[in-house]
Amino acid sequence: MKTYIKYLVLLPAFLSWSCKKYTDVVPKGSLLVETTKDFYELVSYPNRGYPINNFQYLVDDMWIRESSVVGARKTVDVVNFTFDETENRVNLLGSSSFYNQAYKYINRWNTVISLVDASKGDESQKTLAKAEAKALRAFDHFLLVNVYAKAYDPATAATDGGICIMDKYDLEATPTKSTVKQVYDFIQKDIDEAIPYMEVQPADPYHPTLAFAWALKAKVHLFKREYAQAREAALKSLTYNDKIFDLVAYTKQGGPNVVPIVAANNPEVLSYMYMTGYNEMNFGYSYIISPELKTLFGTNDARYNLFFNSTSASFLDIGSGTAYFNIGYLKFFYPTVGLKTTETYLILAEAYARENKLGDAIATLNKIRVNRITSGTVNLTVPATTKEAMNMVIEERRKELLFGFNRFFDLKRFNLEADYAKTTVRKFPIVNKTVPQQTYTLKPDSRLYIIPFAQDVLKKNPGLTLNTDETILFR
Amino acid sequence: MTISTLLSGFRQHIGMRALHTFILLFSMLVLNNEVKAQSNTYSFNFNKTPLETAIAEVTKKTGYEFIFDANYLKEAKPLTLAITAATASQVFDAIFKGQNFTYEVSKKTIIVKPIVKTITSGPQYNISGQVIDSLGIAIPGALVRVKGSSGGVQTNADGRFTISVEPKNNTLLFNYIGYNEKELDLSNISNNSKVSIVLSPNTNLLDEVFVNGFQTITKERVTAAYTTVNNEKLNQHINTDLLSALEGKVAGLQLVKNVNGAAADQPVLRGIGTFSASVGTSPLIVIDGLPTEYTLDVVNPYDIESVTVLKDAAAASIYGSRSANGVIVLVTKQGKLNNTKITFNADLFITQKPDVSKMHYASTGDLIDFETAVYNAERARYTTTENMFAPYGDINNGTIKYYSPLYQLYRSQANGSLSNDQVNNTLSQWRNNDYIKQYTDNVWQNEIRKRYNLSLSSASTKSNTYFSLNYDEGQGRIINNKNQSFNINYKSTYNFKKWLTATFGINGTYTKDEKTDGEYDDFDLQERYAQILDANGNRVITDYVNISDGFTSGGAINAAALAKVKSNAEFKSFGFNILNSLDEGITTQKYTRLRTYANLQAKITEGLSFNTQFQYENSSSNRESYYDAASYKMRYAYNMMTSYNTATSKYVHNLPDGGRLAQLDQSSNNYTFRNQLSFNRGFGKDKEEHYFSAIAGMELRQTMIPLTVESQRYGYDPVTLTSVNLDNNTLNTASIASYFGGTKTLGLVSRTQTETKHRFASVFANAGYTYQGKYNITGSVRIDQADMFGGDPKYKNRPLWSAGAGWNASSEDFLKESKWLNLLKVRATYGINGNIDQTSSPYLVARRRNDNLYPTLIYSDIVTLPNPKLRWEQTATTNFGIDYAVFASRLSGSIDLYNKNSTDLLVTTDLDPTVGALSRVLNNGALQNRGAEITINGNWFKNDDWNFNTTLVYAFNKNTVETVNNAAATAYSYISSPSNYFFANTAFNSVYAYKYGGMVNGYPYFLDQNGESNVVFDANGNPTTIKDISSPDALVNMGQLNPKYNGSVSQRIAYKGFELGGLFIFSGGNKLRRDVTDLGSNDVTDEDITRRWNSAGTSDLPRLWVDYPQSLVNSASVLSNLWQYSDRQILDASYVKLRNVSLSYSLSKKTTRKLNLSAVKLSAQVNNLWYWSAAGDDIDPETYSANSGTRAYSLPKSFILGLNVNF
Repeated sequence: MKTYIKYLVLLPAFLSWSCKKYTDVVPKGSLLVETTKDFYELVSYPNRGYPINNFQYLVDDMWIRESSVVGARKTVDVVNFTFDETENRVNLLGSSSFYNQAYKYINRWNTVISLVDASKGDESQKTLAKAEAKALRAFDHFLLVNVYAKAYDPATAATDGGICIMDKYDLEATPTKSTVKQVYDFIQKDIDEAIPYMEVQPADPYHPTLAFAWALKAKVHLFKREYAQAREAALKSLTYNDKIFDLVAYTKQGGPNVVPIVAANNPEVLSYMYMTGYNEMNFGYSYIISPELKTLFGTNDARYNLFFNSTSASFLDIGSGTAYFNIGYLKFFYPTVGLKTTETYLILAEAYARENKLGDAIATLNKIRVNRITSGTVNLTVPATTKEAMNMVIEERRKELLFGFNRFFDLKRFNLEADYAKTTVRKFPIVNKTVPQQTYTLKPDSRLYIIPFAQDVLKKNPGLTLNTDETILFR
Repeated sequence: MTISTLLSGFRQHIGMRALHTFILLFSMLVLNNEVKAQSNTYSFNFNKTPLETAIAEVTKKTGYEFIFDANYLKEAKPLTLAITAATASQVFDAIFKGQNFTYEVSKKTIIVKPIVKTITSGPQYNISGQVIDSLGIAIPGALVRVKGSSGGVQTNADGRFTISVEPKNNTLLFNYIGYNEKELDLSNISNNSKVSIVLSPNTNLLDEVFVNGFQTITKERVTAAYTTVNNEKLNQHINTDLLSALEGKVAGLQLVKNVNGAAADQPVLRGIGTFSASVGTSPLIVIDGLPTEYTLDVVNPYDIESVTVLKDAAAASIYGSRSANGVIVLVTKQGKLNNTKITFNADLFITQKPDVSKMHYASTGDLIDFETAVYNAERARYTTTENMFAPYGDINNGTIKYYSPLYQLYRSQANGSLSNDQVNNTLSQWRNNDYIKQYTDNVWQNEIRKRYNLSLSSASTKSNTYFSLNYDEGQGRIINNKNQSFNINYKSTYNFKKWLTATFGINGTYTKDEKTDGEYDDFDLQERYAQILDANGNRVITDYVNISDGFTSGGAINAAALAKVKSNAEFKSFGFNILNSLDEGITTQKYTRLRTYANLQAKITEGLSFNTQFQYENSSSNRESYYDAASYKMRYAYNMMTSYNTATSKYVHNLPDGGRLAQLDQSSNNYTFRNQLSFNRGFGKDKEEHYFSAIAGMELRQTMIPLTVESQRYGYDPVTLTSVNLDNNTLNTASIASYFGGTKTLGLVSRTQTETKHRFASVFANAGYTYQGKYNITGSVRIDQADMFGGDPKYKNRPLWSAGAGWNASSEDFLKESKWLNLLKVRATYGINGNIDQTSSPYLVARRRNDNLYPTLIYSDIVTLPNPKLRWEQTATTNFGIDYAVFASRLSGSIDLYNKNSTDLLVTTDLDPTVGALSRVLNNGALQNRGAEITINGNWFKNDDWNFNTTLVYAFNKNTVETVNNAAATAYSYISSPSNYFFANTAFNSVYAYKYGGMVNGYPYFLDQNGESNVVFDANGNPTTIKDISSPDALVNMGQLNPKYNGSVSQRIAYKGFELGGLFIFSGGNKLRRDVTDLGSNDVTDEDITRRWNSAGTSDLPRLWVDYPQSLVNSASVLSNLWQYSDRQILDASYVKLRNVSLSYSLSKKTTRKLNLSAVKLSAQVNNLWYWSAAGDDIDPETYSANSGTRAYSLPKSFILGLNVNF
């Protein structure tokens, strides 16, 4: 055999040895997050769900089907709806999907905040990515601390047990619990560090805007009872977005069944977060409003008239005076958990009222009401006292900020103030006559308002203590 | 010992290439008797014909067999002679005239022997005797010679010989192929003595070669643990597929059945060594040297020459990161030199319907009584009947829930629309119905499968070609289920030059399956008292049934809802008959598989060769199902998607009228490219003293699953081939308000597609050294790299390696003489294999997704959080083995002991949710498998007519979970998911149970972790509190789900042309749960309902749900769960099965010759004829879900007829 033939035969072997890059395959549809741009894009995260099932029925605005309680097993829903303080809720909470989701999102923001600096790319984009991620991290911590801890009480916040602060990407971390004040300080620091670098009109709707950051700042100040700062921040936010969607005109056009308003067309939206997901309002029958709230709406409120159904026997106990949101998200995009401009107005109104600028407060409320009330008393008249004005604000908040965390958080914080504390009373069942009707009472200082950490967290973090007086049986 | 047994013994070995045949045999079996042969006359005409050819021709015509030393042929002179009408002996005389050897006739055998030279010097003496094997059977044709001289004699047909010996050369040597040489010192032996010489078989030489896919090595040089199943063993029975051909033949290879028969058996070798579902347990499959994505059940068993199962690290680690589950190497058939062979097989399989009586269902009457009791109990909870029915809903009233016709009957009775007599009449009619019987009679049929296989092979020194065609068709258990398969296999090797060989092959399969809708497979579709056919045999259309369409989100309806729409022309009928529905919505699935490969081999210098191989595989499937507008499901979907506009009082049909066509095209492909240098050479004395064999090479491999193509069309018309555009936004994304209440959506094809591509690049080498054919050392190393894997350089190039040592003890001089020990080989190996799970990645990987609110917006969804320490799963295996053959190889086999330590296993580790992830996959788990494997093959008795052979295969495996990372919160997690939750130092898949305390008043109670009863009873025996038990401390470990031992006994008896064979398989040491009746549900059908608790206290069974008082009904499911998973319900899962018994008859040569065929074999076989199970109660552990305690039909019997013809 001739020598050159031998080498010819060996040639493919040598060729293939040189294929060093052979295994460098990036799968289609996937992305190795490496560059600054990749990290910046991670900030955009649609369809974030913040399930409210740990406390959905704890509020006076919500109601439940009678068959879910009468003769049913004692679930968290039943405990919450019947204000049952005897039950040790830890035993019912194997895990809390809200808790796990919120920290999962925080982990995403931390991925950006911790890792973007080491990536290749534009420095200003790194700063922007970190700023946006911090704004969102502040929002998630805000929700968490208000669910699992006592509402902010300036007198006790420094000692009230809060939640774990997650300030960097670290899957091996052993988180420790901070006080309510520490958490609020962390939230404020994040917002304040974020605002100088954020944009008015970012790359896509899921990047947080300046309007969002200022509104969040206003909300945090409001919850801390720092009304002047809340007012300033709210006004600042309104300079970026002060649009209110006119439901009165919309009613005349025929409403959602005639003119659909999809997400992009609702100008009030400041951020996109949900109780379950973007299409949650398609299944609005899982969120039944109480007879009390239904009554509160009256007959001329477009917020009720356009969206609610009170007659479907499929989803309601006819005769209970309840109603459910009956408009799918493609017909009208209704944000539940995220912030919206009307909330900014309501923060502003409350700040004015607290500062005893009652005229400004009511004028602010009326800006919303002219776009909501179709007939009768549109413009409220200025009352004599702060307390009266505040009650008007609270009432308007109940009607404007439906579902999500809004009423739960409001009840928690107002209950700390004697003037606005509320004892919720429920008579149930209304329709079913086979069992005797009972009266359930939820006192303002009930431990139920603080949701205990779930078992999965308590088991993995033995140092974590509850913010309520419930016992952890497995410790 | 007769010639024919001798020859059949030879035929077994003649194909072995390791054998340097020095004796050639030409034989054609003839059964003509001698007298007749003597009277025959023959004519031959030879012209310079080599003696070899001449003998072949004479053999063919006369039927005599020749035995001679091949060396003689070298000296033989070519023949030129013409013989006319000569007798046999005249012919022989003529042929051997002038040659320097002569012959001796013994019956029908011609022994060619040298002309004994007259020994001239010194006094001589004669020695006579007989050469026998260790069982005393004569060995004819053995060579007897004097040591140091060239002369010698051969033994006659009785093994006898006589030889003259000079005193100075007084040592005799005895040789026979396949036996060890024997010396006899004659110093002390007197003249005319008779001696008896026992030759022991040289099993070493006779044994097989080892094929690992990279190289072929003679067994004596191998240190690895492996089992080869050759063609003969593969075809001992008629096999449904290649998997079943392997069953019971390889110690340590277990075939786990899919309990519902829904998928092929799952091979598991030496226990489970991974936690990862995406790694799985399946060994790597290799066809003709290259890894394939084929599974064993899709390979045509008739194309396979041999199967080698590589068990330990020394055998398998050359396959690197995919070999930890073991490797199965298939070698396809090829032509045999100078032989053209045509083989035809036809097989018919008939599988009976399963025996439903073994399911222990209650009778129709019992079920009606039970359901009546349930109705009464439910009714008692409400003040009025209509109150009771209110939660079942109606149109415009609640959510519609299905209730049975019996409930409707009682509802009608209560509201007065039916009289008591009418109700009673209906009930007594219903009692005579039996839906299951009608279903099994009319829907089921015997499964019939026909398989035809034709193979042609031909080989010459220049080329070697194998070609086969296989056609397979069958009908399934359910009517209208059919399948057809067509398989072509072609492989051809060309020897272009002395140094260059090329092989090209292609294997194509086309399969077409027609399946009816899977939802109709179960006879639970309708109530037991429903009918399929009426007394006259006409199909009964039931008004409504509890089956929804599955295309929309519409649920089942009930009688109340139906009554409101029945006469409404806007709605289509809800009527159902199973036989009608089985004609609808048939899914046709077509598969094509293609495997094509090329192999180029060049010899470079002596012992060194280069080999390049390429293989491409492609498999694609095309699925199509069509429901026409009149089908049950389309009518249902049409109704569900109908809404009513109250403003206009009009019905809106959101789903267009017409059919539904769904199509799905999927495919996958892969290629492997390998270059390899091989070196094989001996050095030293006879080039045998030192023997080296080594390979080194590289391999590139890509696997790819491209995008799937999927579509669904509504309003489809199969004639015009048109469909209607749908408003997907409304129908799917939003929803419509259905007339039947609530919002309904239409399911659509997912908008997300995936494509998976993986690449591997590997380098590998192995080497073996053998000294004097006795001592072996071997080693191998392989480094694999894969895409997206192993970011840390520390792990990236971590090699997988093995080392082994072997000692051929029986080749040692001190054992060579042993009378009873024929083969003893001791081997020990250690090495590391890998496994790969490519669902993990060391990088932060995101998936690109389209947003739903802003459809053009693309965002990144994080798929994996970075895990920089990701690495291969590793399995370190230590193997110690012995191969033995004793008593003239009457008894042979092997014993292997192994210890497999699997570490770095990918396990899901639970995290504190606060850190932002619930769990992550880490290389953190460890499993250990220890075991023993024993194979004993006994050829007990063998003579002219009879042959008894028994093979015992036994494997023992002990499996232990070594590290645990995720402790479950509840006891139930350990019970329900034993493969996810475990305690350290227990067997993987352990069976945990609650402690049964006892039963009071029909309420079972159980002991919690403190040994206290979970139920507190009052003085009257009524429970006051019922608690669940959730602490894992309360559990008892009852054993394991995977068998500790398994194996087989194969018994074969051959008499002349008949052969009777039976294969028993057994398995045991594991546990299963009894199939107890659910106490927390009214939906029960077991015959236990008739024996349940009663107030008289005569039953030892607990109360069912219906027997619970209202105050305790919510606790019934708690007690049911504890009851079902209590230690009381654990049974032994051991079983023995007669997997098959077969009888075959091979036509005599005489007959086949008349038919002009070379062999014909007829077989009849029965599969799954009998079984014994320790659990009893008609439980078939192979088709039983052991952990949930769920019974499925036991394997039905199959009757098989086979025909095999060789041309």
